[in-house]
Amino acid sequence: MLKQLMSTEDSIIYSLKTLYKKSGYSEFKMRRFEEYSMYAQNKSFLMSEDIITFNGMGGKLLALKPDVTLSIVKNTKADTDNTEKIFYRESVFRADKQSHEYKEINQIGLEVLGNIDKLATVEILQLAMKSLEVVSPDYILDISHMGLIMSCLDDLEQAQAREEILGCIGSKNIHDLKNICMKYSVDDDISDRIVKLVGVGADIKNALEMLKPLIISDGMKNAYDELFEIYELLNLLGCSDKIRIDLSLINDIDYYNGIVMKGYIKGIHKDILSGGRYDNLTQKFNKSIGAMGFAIYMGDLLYFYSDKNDYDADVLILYNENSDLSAVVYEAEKLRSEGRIVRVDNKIPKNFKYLELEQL
Amino acid sequence: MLNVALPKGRLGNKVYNMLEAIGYECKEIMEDSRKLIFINENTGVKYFLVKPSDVAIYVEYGAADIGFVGKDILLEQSSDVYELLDLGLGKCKMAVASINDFRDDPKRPLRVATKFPNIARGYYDTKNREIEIIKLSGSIEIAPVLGLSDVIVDIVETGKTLIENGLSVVEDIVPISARMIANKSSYKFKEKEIEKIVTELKKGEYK
Repeated sequence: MLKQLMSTEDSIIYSLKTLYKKSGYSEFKMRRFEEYSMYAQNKSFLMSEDIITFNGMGGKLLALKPDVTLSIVKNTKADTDNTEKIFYRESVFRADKQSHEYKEINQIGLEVLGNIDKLATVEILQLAMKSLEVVSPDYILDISHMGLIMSCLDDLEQAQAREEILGCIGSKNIHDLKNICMKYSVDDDISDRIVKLVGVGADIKNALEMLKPLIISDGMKNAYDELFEIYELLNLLGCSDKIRIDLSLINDIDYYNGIVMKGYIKGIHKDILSGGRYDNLTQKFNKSIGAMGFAIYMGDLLYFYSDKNDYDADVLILYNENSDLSAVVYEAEKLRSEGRIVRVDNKIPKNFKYLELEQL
Repeated sequence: MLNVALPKGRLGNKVYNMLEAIGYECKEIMEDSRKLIFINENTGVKYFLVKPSDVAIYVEYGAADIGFVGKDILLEQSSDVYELLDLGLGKCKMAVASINDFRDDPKRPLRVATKFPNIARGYYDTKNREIEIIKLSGSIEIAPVLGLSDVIVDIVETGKTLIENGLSVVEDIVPISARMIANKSSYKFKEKEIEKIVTELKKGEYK
């Protein structure tokens, strides 16, 4: 009964929070404002450089948080012997590319900080899949390993070339990729390999097979092995069928270093879940710990579900100056105890739709 | 059902003919009417005709699974989509042009008239040149002639318009042609259908 009364958004959040709590993650609540200096020093880790700032009472420059992970990493007490597992539900404020306005983005996510081994990684991937399942059974979780593409680009010194190549990889744009490699005189060997890597997109088992002959360096081998071990464990657990490897998946290279993921729901035009391994960020804060997590963006879900109720209430009880008021209250409570939505009023509210009308 | 956004006009007609040739026909589309949506249940395809500059938006927001659009528009809008194929149609280039005896004066910001402010800004950022953008919607070529701007950043196809207005290309920025794009999420769930079109269209390239 409770579920019916909740909006779909609320019930998803409720289910996700329950899922994370049951898995032993504790809820993290962050301060609404952060000092601007933290974001200014770590701009490259933020999705957008536009941050809403204002002066605090003491004259300090404060910011409305554009990101959650940064604060979590900054404040964490985790070390390799003391792993923290947390989840959060927060709003962040970022500039929107399309509307050129700030947008409030509702996020729910989790992070593991400290010692991230194979099991921790698999647990996070499983939780990501279960989270998507909460939204819809028609989902796909794409994963990749940043080490595979990045070790091909290691020798590339020109930042501009790197950026353009990464742009092409992210959009599976092979035709321009070849031209750009030529423009920056990238070795044919390397450019061929990148083209082949970008073409790897399949279920995890087949993708690993496609990937095997493309491994040439130690960096790539390590990344491959990590993916393979994860696959083996996921397979034993019987949950490898909705997870795919897609090497065109590139998350922010300053932030992420290992396994990255994006989750898609059929019918929603972009990824609603995004995350990965981000030791690069913890190192920036001089913490030698592993870190991995993901976030789900609730905003895009609002258009996926239409919570349009045909009725505002099951019953509208109307009373007037002659009514027995205690009888009105008694009747309303009785109906509510039967599980019905009841509104009490002395006039019919404008545009109000009800199934039954009772006049007392 | 595969939703396909086609740009109204010449490019759209060409692309439709290519798609028809590989089995995605929908005869109704070639009839002279004001309809914008055309469905062929048998081939499982739904076409809609939109303004060329809007194609990428329809695809990015998932109203269309795939679309066909000029690279100029993709660059200008930096659309978050998969760019799966260069169709080799509508080949031209994005270039900087100005009056024939133009010389850049580095002591002041360069005034750039263009329909493509993001491309122009991006290009001059890489050259570390300070510019002032003058956004126009058409007849860009007359801006330097009238002294409204120093240069223009625009699409150059044959260069005829430039010559007729006493302009010439100063620098090339990037080659442009029509591309097939796909929504990132749709691609995950309709990969086979979409990749089939890519493969078939690729075959056509070498015929």
